[in-house]
Amino acid sequence: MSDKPSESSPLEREVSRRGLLAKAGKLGAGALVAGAVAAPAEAARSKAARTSAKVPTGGTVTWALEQDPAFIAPFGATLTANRWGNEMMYESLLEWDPKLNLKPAIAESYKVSGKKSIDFQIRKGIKFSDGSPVTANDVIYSFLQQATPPAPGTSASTSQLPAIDHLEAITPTSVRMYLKQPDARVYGYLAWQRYSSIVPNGIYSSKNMATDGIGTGPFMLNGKYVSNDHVNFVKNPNYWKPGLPYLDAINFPIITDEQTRLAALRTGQIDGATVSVDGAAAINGAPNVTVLHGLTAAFRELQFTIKPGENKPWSKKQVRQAINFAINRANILKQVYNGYGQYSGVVAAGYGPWTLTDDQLQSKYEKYDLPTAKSLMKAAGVSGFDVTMTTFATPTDFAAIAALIKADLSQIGINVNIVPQDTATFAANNSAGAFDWDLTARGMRGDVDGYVAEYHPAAAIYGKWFSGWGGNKQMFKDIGNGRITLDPAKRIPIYQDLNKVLMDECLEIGLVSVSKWQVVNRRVKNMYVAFTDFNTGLRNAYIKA
Amino acid sequence: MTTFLIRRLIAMIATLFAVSVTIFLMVRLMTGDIISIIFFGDEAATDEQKDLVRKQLGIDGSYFHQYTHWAGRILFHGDFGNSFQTGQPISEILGHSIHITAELIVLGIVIALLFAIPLGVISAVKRDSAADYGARLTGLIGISIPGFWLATLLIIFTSQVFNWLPPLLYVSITTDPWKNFTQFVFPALSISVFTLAIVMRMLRATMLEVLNLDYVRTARAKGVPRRTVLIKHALRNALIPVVTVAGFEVGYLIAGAAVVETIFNLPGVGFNLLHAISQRDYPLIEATTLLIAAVFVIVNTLVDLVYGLLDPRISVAD
Amino acid sequence: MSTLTETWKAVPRRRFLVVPAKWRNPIGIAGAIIVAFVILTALIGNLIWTNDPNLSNADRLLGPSWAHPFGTDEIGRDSLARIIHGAQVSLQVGATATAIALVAGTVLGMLAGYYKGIVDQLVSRVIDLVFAFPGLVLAIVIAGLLGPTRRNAMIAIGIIITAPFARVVRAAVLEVMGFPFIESSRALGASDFRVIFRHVLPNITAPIIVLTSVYFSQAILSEATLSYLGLGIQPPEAAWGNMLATARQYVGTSIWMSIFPGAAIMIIVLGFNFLGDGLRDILDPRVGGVTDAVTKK
Repeated sequence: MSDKPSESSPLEREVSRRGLLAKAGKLGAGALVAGAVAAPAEAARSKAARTSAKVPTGGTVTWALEQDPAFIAPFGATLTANRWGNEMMYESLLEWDPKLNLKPAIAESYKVSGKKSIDFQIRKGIKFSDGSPVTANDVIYSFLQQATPPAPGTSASTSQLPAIDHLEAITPTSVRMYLKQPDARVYGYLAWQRYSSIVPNGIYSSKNMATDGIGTGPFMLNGKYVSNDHVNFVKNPNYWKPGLPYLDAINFPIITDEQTRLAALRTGQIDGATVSVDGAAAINGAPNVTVLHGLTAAFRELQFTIKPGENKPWSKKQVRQAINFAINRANILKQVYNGYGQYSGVVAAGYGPWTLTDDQLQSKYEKYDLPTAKSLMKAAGVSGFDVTMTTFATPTDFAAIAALIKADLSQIGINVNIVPQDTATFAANNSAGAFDWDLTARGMRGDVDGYVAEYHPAAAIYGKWFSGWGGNKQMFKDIGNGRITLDPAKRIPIYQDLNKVLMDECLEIGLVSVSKWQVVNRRVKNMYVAFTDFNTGLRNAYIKA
Repeated sequence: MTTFLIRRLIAMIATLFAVSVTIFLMVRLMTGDIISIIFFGDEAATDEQKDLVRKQLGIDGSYFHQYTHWAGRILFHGDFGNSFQTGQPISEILGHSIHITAELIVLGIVIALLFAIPLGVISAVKRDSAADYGARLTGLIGISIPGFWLATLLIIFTSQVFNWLPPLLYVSITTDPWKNFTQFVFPALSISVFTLAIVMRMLRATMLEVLNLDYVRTARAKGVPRRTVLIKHALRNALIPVVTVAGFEVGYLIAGAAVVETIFNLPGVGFNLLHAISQRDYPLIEATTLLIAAVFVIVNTLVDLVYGLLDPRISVAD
Repeated sequence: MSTLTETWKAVPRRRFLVVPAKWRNPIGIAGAIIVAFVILTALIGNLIWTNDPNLSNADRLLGPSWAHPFGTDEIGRDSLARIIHGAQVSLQVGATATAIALVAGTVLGMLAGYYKGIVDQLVSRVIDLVFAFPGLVLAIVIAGLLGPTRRNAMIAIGIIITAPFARVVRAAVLEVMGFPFIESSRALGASDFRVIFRHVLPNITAPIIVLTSVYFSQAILSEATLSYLGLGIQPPEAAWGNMLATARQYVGTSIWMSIFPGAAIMIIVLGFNFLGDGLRDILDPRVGGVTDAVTKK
């Protein structure tokens, strides 16, 4: 098994200039006026052009999606699968490299032009796949659609919008973004193209965007998306990154059944797919495939409600801490995930400098420590209690973790009654706060604030989950300051402190981060498992027999 | 005959109306809705934002208003609405999936009858012979084996032993009939087994009964050749209840198809229904259920008609 | 829709409860033995095989061995212990669902057949409505509506098999009502209650017994299917259907995980079907019999 791209892959080279681009990103993200990042990007481009001469081009990759995208409209979707169906054709003003460093994309450069405004210079000569140039009007139109997503999207995703007030064209190829207040979430929002794609002005009135679309990405639609069946792409001849993409086409059949995906990988009917840890183990050793794995932002966590007047045992901090120390995360990783994955706090493990390190979690904050747990229970004056823990019926790892937690907590006198529910029921109860304990999951967020906002009374959900909790001034202060501090150098320490406060309060208990497994045919090179849970690696993949 | 048809038609419409009301209420009484799915994990979402989406999807008014709006669009515009999830017209989604399920079911019935009729006849004619016991045992095993298990075993067997798999992506019968056949034969096989067993058992039973009837004995005594008696008199009459059973089988096969479609990744009606239920996609659940009920009711009405034609003792005017 | 009734009427019938010609019915006896074995397994299996079905205390995905004859599952629980637990679940769901159908179906069918007229119309239309949904589709919708739990699976399956029960009972009652002794006892002033319990019910017990056995197997199969689809018994509780669903993830490496629960379902369903077949030969000797025509959804 290999979780790294091959030695000679252009990705490695691209990643090696990460430092350069990261610097550019940090500059751009600074509160002060940042320099344009055009120069390093230019350098990178010519380097990529040289590299591309050695990389074989052409060929088609068939990559099976494990879930139907439902629709491929760029705005107003909430499923990650929706993005799998259209990520190849869309881009945003900025983008992330594989390590979540900011890079310019459609915007060639950007600078903070006022207390609450950022200017973006649109890349020179950049075109949509239909050949029309990208203008300020396209950008302004796109942000309007993001704020009020047309059907088939819903306004569901608008809660993820940072405090953008409006955009204005400065010149035909540059725009000024006005913020309602300083909001550090804006860069993550612009880099994570999940919500912030740029589309041609007025496209919603000329196309059925559920099954069609035009963007600036490396590939463009080939035909239309067919629900529960497939969505296919071909190379975008107008793509702005020189020499890219290497592939002629990518086809995405939708194959929801894992056994079918594995069988198809074996027979070579598909070139790649995401599989479970056990699916990966089953196919590992097959002559024609390489097995990749990597951490994603997905993690599992245990959540409580603390309501006024209920006075449940876990409204005491010591009881929550006891639960935290009584859970054997190493055993969960071993028994459920075949030993792969990491401990996770309530900010996804591996989420850059915004979360605690694996070492900190394992040796201190999430250490499996039964004696401490028992003495904490004693200190709280709680001998034991019965509680109902609801969780997802599918995927099955939730029930498996639940069974292990039940066994762990029985050792400190807590009798957990497990109630699995289907997704819709679970989701309804979760968002209504109609539960005692939920074994749930979190995924990728555009900004670290997305993981912690719920602990602040200003969040809509706070009242439903934590209204009976006394609060923590330090926590509230960190959350508020973190959001408005635009300079990363000043922002990181705030979150380092916040993470520790969160670990002490145990208001929610992070469990484990899950490794994602992808199997690719040996002929496909340069693929990697993206932290964002997208298939970003396919953009730069190539075929070598 | 005309009165019969009119009466059946009215009964059919009444049944479908009742089904539409039932399913309309049922989906709305399910816990959780599309809103909870859309907003899951979005801690920043406000109730106002949720209400706005509810309004966008047309699930905000009273049930009466929602029902009349929905039923009215179907009756007067033939419009089943759009999927909550995909925004696609439901007629498009069903149009894409219905021929997959239809092909699966037709192939399933053909396979079932192909084996069931000879087995049933042999079993009855050679009653209490080894062949009879063999056939009865096969029949009992057939109704006892879970279809999804059989499908799993088939996939394991073919992929592990022969390293061969049917094509995974749907190929229509017009594009490539052979590929299409190889794609459907295993799923059809796994849903046909139950029907095969039922029809065989039914046929055996009725054949035995018919063979004992006077007119068959008389025909035999009059020196009519055995084969002629069997086919012309016995089998023809024995097939009457079989037709009835085959009608009911359509219903079973639609349900069985849902499971098998999921396993074999065929985006048919049942596959869509299961998906729609898990996503609380009301219009899609409603339209799919109505479609299945309509097919079921129509097939069974046809069965009654055929039944009357086959058996002159029964007047369709009853 | 009255196709079943018509089928049933169309075939000339003999009296029910003819004294059994041959109780020595090899298939029926085989069925009785299998059913007895499964019931015994469910009742005392966990006393003999004392491993905890919910405890993850071994390595995951072990193959069959002396310590774990059926291997271990995806989180290291003993599969044999889980199969034994699954037997309890299957029998409980089968018994409860069948009992619901037996009581509700008999009452409804009896009311419809005995009182005829508007009562009959009403009951028949409701039955038709249930029949308008293919059985499993209805179970899927009901289980989805009520939420996927063991109790709701029992209710959903109970409802769908009530309809055929009611239909057969109604038809049988209609036939019994034509017998002269019913007329005479009514003429003698016997109450409805007395007529029903003294005269009608005893005359329709044979098809009811056969139906019960056959639908028991159908209920178990339906539970397995629902659980397989994630709409029945939910993990971590062990049920054969959900064990099989989980096992599908591991067919490439751990085939035995798919073999044992599947075989268990097949054996118990086969047992009840054998038993039903035998009972039919004995109690409803009209070849095929009324019960075969409706052994269907």
